[in-house]
Amino acid sequence: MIKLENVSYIYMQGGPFEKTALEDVSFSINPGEFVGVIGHTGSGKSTMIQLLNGLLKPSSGRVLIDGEDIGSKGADLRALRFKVGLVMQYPEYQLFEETVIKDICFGPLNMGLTKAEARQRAEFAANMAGLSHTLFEKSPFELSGGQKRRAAIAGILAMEPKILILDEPTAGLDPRGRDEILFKIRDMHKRMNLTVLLVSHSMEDVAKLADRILVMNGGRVEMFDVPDKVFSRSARLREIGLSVPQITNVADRLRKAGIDIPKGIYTTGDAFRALMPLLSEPLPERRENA
Amino acid sequence: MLKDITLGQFFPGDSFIHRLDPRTKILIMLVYIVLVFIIKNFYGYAALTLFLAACVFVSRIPPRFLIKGLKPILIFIVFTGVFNLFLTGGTPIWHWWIFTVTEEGVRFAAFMVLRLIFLILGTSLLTLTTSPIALTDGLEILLSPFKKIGLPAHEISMMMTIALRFIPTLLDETDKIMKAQSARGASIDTGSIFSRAKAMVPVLIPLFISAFRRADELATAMECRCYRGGDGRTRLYELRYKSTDLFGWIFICLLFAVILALNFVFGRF
Repeated sequence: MIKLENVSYIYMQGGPFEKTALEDVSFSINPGEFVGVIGHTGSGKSTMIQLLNGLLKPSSGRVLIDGEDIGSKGADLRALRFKVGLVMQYPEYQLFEETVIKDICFGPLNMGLTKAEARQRAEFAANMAGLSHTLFEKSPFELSGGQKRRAAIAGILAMEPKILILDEPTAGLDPRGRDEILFKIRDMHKRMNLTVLLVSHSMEDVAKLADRILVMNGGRVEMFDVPDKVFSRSARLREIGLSVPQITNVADRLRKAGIDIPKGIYTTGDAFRALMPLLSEPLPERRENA
Repeated sequence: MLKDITLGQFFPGDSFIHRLDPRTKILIMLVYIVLVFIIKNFYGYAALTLFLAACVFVSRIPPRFLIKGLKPILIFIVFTGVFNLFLTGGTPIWHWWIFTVTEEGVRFAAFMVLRLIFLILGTSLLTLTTSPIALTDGLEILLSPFKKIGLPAHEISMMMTIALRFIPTLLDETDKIMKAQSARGASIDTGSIFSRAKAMVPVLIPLFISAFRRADELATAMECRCYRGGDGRTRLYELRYKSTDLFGWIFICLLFAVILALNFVFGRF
């Protein structure tokens, strides 16, 4: 259970470059929920997620994780960080150990586990993240971009957090690496009953995966609702520098053109199911005609 | 911790001090440093304090911003003070076990500490009021007469520009990596010195790797724009002396005269 109450965050308070990153943000996220976080660059997404595991402390307001105020004096931030796993942007730049598996063990060892326990967890996490065991004894710097990214995610997963936060986990990856990582995240969410916060610039990805979508704009929460509600306000989304999934645009245009298809089409899968019945002739024949 | 480093930081503004030509400011700084070392008595430091306070006031830089710049070198200041206090021979005024404090020691320690503080405050004021580009431009022109004896003035200033340019980037990067490792439960700022040094490994290795990667990328980017050293290179902004620079020189010459006079009148200590 994550709860933010009137949280504000100001960078370099009192300095010449003072900047308000978050202003009066309140929301709560239920256990086991998959939340997509979207927002224009500089809307406060990264600041917000760093508040959730105590890397930053709110300038005002309270951040409650399982009812515990993490800004309070006695709060055990290390224990919190094992509970709230944060995968930062471009996490592959934090790899440092001689071998991949040692790097994944770093978190579990910091938790005070024995080497054998850490190794066991690391292997399980690597498996979850889709990292082949043939890579375990390689240097992390020999891996490809997508493999490095997965190794870094495994490093967080190995701590077995209850809440997993990912800041643009697919940025800079090729389409295949992207799909694999997103698939793995969904898989983990389902199999381990993780609460997931996924920060993304891709409307398609959040539409496909999220139960609810948190829309940030200028340091405030603009919307926090199910994808249907959020994407029905496409005009407002465009105003704040976001958009709806491309396929939703297409479906809207088709509906305007008088074709009878339902609302709420956000993924190519949805579109496929809605459009296929309309095609009376089977597809291969149409292709021959063309 | 990293937020405390103000050395090399630029505090934008439009004051008299900001508008001085960088060459003037660098030369005035040299005179100022000479003054810090030739001062013989506390009256001299009083005069210097007045001068510095006036400069800070005119520059409109919040004094606490300057003071904050002393924090990272606090440990050096304390060490210098303590060593000079106990290790200077002379007339003993206090004695306990193996520790002896002499009258000369007290004076010497106070002098050394003052010198350090004035050096840092003065140089911080220079970097706070001068953009890194202006600073290295000024330095390049001041050094160019030495090209004749083989000093690579342009290369030195280019290296300085790049180094200064990358201080904030690397600090940012360090901050990010420290956060990423803290997120994995690394405890970087707690524990004994030994365990803390060990805890820096997960930060330093990624930092070095990324620094090398950045250097490589920058070199490629510079080559793509046909950079080939300083020969025949013209500049976008030519530096010109203005009337304000004359005022600057008058002030520092006055200060020089005052301090020489104070040295002469009151002598050593």
